Amino acid sequence: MTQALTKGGDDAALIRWTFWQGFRAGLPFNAAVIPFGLLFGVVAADAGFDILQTMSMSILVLAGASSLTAIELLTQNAPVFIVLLTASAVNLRMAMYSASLAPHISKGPLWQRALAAYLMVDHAYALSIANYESKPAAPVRAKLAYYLGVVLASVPSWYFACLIGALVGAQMPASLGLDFAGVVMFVSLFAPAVRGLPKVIAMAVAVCGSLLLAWIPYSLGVLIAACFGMLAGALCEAALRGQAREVV
Amino acid sequence: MVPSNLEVWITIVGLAVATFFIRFSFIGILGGRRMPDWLLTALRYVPVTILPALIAPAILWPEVTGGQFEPLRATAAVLTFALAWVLKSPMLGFLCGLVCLVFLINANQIFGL
Repeated sequence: MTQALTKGGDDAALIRWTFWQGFRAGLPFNAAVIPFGLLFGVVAADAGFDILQTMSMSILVLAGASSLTAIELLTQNAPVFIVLLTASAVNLRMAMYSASLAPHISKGPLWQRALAAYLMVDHAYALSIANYESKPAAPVRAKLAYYLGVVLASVPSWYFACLIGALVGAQMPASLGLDFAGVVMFVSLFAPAVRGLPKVIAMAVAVCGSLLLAWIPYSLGVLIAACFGMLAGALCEAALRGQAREVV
Repeated sequence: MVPSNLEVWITIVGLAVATFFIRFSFIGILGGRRMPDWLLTALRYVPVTILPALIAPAILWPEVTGGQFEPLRATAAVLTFALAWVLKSPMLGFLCGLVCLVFLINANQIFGL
C-alpha cells in the first residue's frame, strides 16, 4: 500500500540516480574526446573549412571518424556523392549499435529516442549496453536516463574542443607537419581493433585493394576495397569456425 | 585542394541526415527486429576495412609532396599503428603518434642540421 503511494516519488529518484550514474561513467571519456575534438578542428581548418562549417559538422554530424573521412575525400576532390557514400559507410557500425540497444529503449518516448539517436557515439553505446545487460529489468525511462547521463558528460566537451581546434588550427604554421595529423588520427582509431587473424586479413585485403584500385576515379576504389576486405574477413572467420567444429 | 563552399555544405547536411537515420534505424523505426547474421558479421569489419583503405594511399603518396613517397610521414604512420596496437588505446596511440610525427618532421630543425 505505502509502496503504491510512494511509487511516483521513487521512480523520479531512481531516474535521477541512474542519470548521475551514467554521468559519472561518461566523464573519463573526456580524456579521449577532447584531444580528438581539438585535432578535428585543426584538420578541418587545414582543409579550408571556416569556423561555421567546422562547428556545423561537429554539431550536426557528431561522428568524428566519418567527418574526418568526408574532409579527407573532399580535399582529394572526390565528388560529393562519393564523399557522402563513403563517410556514411564509416557510420554503418552505428546501425549495429541501434539494433543492439533497440530491445532496451525502443518503447521509450519518440523524442527521447530521437535524441538518443542523435547522440549515439561509440562510448555511449558501449557503456549503456553494459549497464542494461547488468540490469535488464530496469524501467525504460531509467535506461534512457543512464544514456543521457553518459552523453551529457562527454558530448558538450566535443563541441568546445572542436571550436578551440578550429580557432587554433587557422593559426598553425604549415611547417609543423600537421597536414598529416588526420592520417595519424585515422591510424590510431582503427589500429587497436585489428586483433585476430580475420581482422588482420580484412585490413590487409582492404589496404592492398585500395592501393591497387587507386586509379579508379572519384576515390571509389576505397569503398570497393573495403567491401573486399569485409568479405575476406567474414570468409576467414567462417573457415576458422569450420575448422574448430572439425576439431571438436 | 580546397573544396567549394557549396560542396562543403551539401556534405555537412547530407552526412548529418544520413548519420541520424543510421542511428535512428532500429531504436526509432525497425524496433526490436533482428539483423540478418551475414549483415552483423559484415558490419563488425567496417572499422578495420574502410579507414585503412581510405588512408593507405595518403600514407604512400602524401598530398604535401605532390604524391611523392615521403619516408618521414610513412614512418610516423607505422609507429602510430604499432603504438596504438600495443597500448590498445586509440587516444594514447594518437597522442604518441602525433609526438612522433612532429618530432620526425621537425627533427632537422630541432637538431639544428
